[in-house]
Amino acid sequence: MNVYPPTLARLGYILEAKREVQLLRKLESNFFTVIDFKEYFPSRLPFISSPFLFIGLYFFVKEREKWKKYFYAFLVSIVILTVLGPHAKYGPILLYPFFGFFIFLGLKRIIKGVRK
Amino acid sequence: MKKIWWAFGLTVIILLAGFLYFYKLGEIPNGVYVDEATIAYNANSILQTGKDEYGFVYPLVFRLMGSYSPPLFIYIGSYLTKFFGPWVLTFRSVTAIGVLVSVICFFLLARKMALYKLNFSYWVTTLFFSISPWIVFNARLGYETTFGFVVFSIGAYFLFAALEKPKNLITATLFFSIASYISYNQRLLGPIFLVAYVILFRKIFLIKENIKIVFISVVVGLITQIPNLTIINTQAFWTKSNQFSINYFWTLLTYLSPKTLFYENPDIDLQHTIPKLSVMYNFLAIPYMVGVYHLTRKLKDQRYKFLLAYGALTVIPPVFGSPFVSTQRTLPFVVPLMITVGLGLDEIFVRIRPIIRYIVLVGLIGYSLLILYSSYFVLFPKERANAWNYGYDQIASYVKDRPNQKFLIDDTRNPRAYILFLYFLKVDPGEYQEKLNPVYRDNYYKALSMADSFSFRNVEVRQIDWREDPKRDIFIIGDDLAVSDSQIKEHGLTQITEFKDPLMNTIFKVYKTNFRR
Repeated sequence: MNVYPPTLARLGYILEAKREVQLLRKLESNFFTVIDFKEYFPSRLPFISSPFLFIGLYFFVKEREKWKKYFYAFLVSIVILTVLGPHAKYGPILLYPFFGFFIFLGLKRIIKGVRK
Repeated sequence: MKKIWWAFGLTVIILLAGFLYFYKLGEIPNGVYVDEATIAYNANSILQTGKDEYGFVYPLVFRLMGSYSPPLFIYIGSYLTKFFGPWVLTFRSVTAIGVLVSVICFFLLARKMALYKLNFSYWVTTLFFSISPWIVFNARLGYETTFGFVVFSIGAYFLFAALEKPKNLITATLFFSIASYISYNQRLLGPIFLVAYVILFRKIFLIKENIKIVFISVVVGLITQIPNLTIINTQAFWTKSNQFSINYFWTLLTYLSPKTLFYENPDIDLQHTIPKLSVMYNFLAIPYMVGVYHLTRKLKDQRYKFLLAYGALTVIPPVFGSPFVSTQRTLPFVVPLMITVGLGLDEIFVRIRPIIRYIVLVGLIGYSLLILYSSYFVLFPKERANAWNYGYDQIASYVKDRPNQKFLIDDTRNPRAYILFLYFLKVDPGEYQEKLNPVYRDNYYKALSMADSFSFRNVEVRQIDWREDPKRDIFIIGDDLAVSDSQIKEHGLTQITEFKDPLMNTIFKVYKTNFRR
């Protein structure tokens, strides 16, 4: 905060020290960690599964009306992890069932495409 | 009437961007990076003597501190140096003006692509492009990479235009070819992009009516590449290519991750980073994800196909170049990225009432400018001062004020520091060329390893030789780690003074040897 010149001390206080801003920064950090691919590949999921996951995710969003409940549950999981933080022992464990589902969906789509 | 509004809107954006690119341009970045110093010094050397710092006459690639860079930016700078002086500010200004051109080019490309439902979205996207940290940061650099990106972007505009009027392929090839003489990144990117583009849109270009245009483009490309082709078999041409490896492919995820783009810049070089800010504003992460989704949905449309190709081709080649993330190498990616973000913004704006839209927009612009001001104009000059070689100008003044003393400057942690002293001390290029070992001039394109000791005027720049140097009557200047307390005692050195950075940390200490001991 003391990096700011005296005329901008108030701005420095708001941006660097104000509690509410610190809280928002924490939430921002959590959110970007949750949605970061590098958080999952390769430490939690093998690289090989990434194309299936991305394809599955694409169709999941595209057909969100079909998967309405799961879609909202997925969004709520991201919000929960943003609030609680993704750094627990098992990391963003709430999202794992969704990842499994996306990989399944991606595989299914690819197999369907190959058969055609 | 409509055209007047378009011109007015674009002028407002250009004025705001111009202010951000030129405000305190000589002071922020707070220091002079070695790449800037070497470009400024070599441009002046060309102007004064027709030779570069090594005494080589009008090189086709410049040997800059052991590496090689395309020459056009230096030659353009050399001409401008005649009018504006051999200062880094001259080169930073060239870049800033170039980026203003790229903002116009971005707007024209976005308009031509016509991907958005609302006219409003073109303005907003261009505005966020022009004030994005990635663009503002690179608009204020005095070396060639940003200018290469500018010329490349103009080429990309013509490339898109070629989908409608294939003749534009020739102009695009010309711009890509020019860009290859400005920045090393564009030398690789241009040909890869052109070949992939023609293959991707083969139904347009590889048909009887248009094959002639492709042929003319190839001829234009080959003719304009003659200077490069004459040195293609030298090590100088391929100097940076030995780092290429397929193993780096997975760093692609890092480049595309929202965390990298909107929250935390993982660039390994501190010099390329802004405190508390990544390359884009954090709130654009949502439109980015929405935009990517819409982009992938409409890939059958050739405009979206072009956008995806633009994104993929500007990000994939740099990925193979290094295991580390470099936001500078992937700078051309900012154009497709921002157009994609615009897709997301457009989808969001369509769904909200106009009045809310304007209120949200004013809030987001205010927030962006506040964060940019705080991070780039307040924190960056202080927290990144050392990465930008802050303090070397002060040492140079100290040396200049004592012309009868001998100075040894320890460059252990900054082996390219010699160029900063050549630049700050305004060493006459002719005088320096004469003193230099002619082996570098005679084997100019052979990529010889860089010298480890430099001597000019009353200055030597090298590592300290603890056997010999304490026996000489000299001043030793080094950073905080250069001389330990035990070495001070052992050799009887006397600390004369020290220099501090803006955070009041000691950056350099000056010692006098006790040679009579």
